[in-house]
Amino acid sequence: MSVDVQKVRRTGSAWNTAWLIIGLLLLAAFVAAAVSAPERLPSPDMDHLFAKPWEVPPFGADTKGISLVHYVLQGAGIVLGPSALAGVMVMIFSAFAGLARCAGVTWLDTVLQVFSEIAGALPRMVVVLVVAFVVPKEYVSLYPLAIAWAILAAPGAMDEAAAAAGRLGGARFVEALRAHGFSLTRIYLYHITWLNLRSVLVRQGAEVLMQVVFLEIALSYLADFKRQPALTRPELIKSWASPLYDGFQSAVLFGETLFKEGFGKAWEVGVTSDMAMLHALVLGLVLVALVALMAQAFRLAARQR
Amino acid sequence: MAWWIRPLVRLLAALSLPILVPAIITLVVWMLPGTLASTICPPGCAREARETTVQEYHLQSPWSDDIRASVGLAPLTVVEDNPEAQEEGEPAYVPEDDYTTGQSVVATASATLDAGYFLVNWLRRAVVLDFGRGKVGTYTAFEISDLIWSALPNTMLLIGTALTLVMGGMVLAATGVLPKRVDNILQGVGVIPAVFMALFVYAILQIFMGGDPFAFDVDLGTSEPLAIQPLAILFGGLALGLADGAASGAVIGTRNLFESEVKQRYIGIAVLRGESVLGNALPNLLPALVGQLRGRVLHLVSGTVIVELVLQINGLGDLLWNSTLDKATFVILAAAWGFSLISALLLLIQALSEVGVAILVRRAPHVPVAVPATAAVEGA
Repeated sequence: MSVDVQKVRRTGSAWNTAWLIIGLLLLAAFVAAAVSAPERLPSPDMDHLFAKPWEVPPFGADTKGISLVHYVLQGAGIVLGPSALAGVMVMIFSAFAGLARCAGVTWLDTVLQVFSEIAGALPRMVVVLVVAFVVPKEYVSLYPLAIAWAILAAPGAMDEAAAAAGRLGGARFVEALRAHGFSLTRIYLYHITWLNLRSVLVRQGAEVLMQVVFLEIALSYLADFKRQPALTRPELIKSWASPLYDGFQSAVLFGETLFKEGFGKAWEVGVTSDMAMLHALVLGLVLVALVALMAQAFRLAARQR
Repeated sequence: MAWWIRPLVRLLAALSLPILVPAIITLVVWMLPGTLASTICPPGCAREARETTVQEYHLQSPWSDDIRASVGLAPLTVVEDNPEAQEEGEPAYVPEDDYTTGQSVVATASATLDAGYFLVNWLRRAVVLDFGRGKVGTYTAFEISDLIWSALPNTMLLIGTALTLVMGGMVLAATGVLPKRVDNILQGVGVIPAVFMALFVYAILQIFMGGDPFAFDVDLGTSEPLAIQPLAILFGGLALGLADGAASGAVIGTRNLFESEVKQRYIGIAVLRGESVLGNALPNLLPALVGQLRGRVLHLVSGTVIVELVLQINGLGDLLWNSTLDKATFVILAAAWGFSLISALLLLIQALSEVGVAILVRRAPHVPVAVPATAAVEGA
């Protein structure tokens, strides 16, 4: 049985391009939302309390009658910069570890291992809370937490990049390409980083980007849940966790009524009643899913044939 | 890289972590505007109370005021009484004179000396589990060691439940009892972040226990365990084990390791000799399995914070969260130190297992390599 290599390559490449387009479209939407985020939420609107999406398009309103669009935009504004920074940091760390393995500098490998052992040995959420503790209340932001998260996520990514570079042959691979007359810059940037480490770097970067977004949602949710000040943003700015929080209360109410009084009553109380907020829960979950899809799209776009 | 370098690095990291973690926190706290003493006892509070705190917690070295005086700087107590100087982040406020470069250097050196003095004394007390009182916010009057001892069992139970699930999965995957088609289900569940999984458990408990089972006031550290608490710990542990790919990663990782190892020739030979596959593969896979398990435990410890908060379990994570919001330095230090001890212990176990396997391999009888007949003839 013969395999048409060119056809396989074309198919693979077409899929990569499709995923790249999906990833870029989602990223563009993410950036557009962040850039157009309002500084403050509008005043509560008593006429649209708990409004459904068909009453206040496109996403409905919250318990104060404020359109959920503002939450979407402000939430994007909170997470875009820090999550992108964390993703890029992890990519740089990983590329450095991969290139160090190819350079064949043994002591550098050992130094990187020491860093990996120490940074990778700490529970991330504990470190994030310690970082949140040292940030003064008036400067509260997601940036320091995202940087801490990136540093803690780096060891795993560095290990993987170094292993990928090791499989290439490390220093021998560089020597072989030097013998072919390629410059060191070309070897390190094109042959090693672009052709061989790209998939690892992009996947790790995309994963950390997604993790930082989820971290913000988790921390903001917990703060809302415990009615405490947020660790990732000033109080006046709202996160994607807010619609999730409002929607979750409705979901629990729906479940409780379903358990006690049956589906008809549950539908009435949880979905069609004036105070139902399930649309906010759906919106929050869709936002989470879109971020996950964006990360997955970039991962698949960068995978190697 | 020589075989002993990795275990040695792990050993050194394990030994340094319990010192490094409080050292970094102390350093950062000292770099922040204001002094720790003034945070605990703000300007306006009784100087006597502040001096007692300074002495009790060794917040100022006995030499720093002398050093400051030698370059004309005011004693630290004067700085602590001056809110303006603290807001500006001035390490040493000089009321009359200009602040010179030399004075700035000395002030910084004196602050570093204070930080070191505090750290050494804090570690000395921490070794005997004496962390003092919370001093700030919710935990002001509580002995920190009491808070930790009351929180630790719940955290351990939570991690233990999750770990049982993860390790059970690893064992079942290694022995081939768990079919491969379960991997997809586990992976699907593993995509869910810990916070959503914990909320799901919260909703289930709230729906089936009726009303709001979590509506209670915790009498810090002294309350009787609530009826809901054991259930919350059990389901929370299961959620922790399944969320964020903990169980799926462990199962798939273990399965992949064993699948690639059983393809090795020595396993085939061992089977022909009537030996078991597991007995032969396990010693070679042990370091990788222990490494994987360490990663999982760290992951679980990290997730514990979220599960404890959502399910309102009085654990170390909950303690850390509340003290973060309260800016309770001493509680944070103690909790972070506790977590660093757990991390150090895990590193130590991994290093020891690597050393153990290396010794075992080196003690195995040497098998002479057979020289092919053609090579022997060519050599002759």
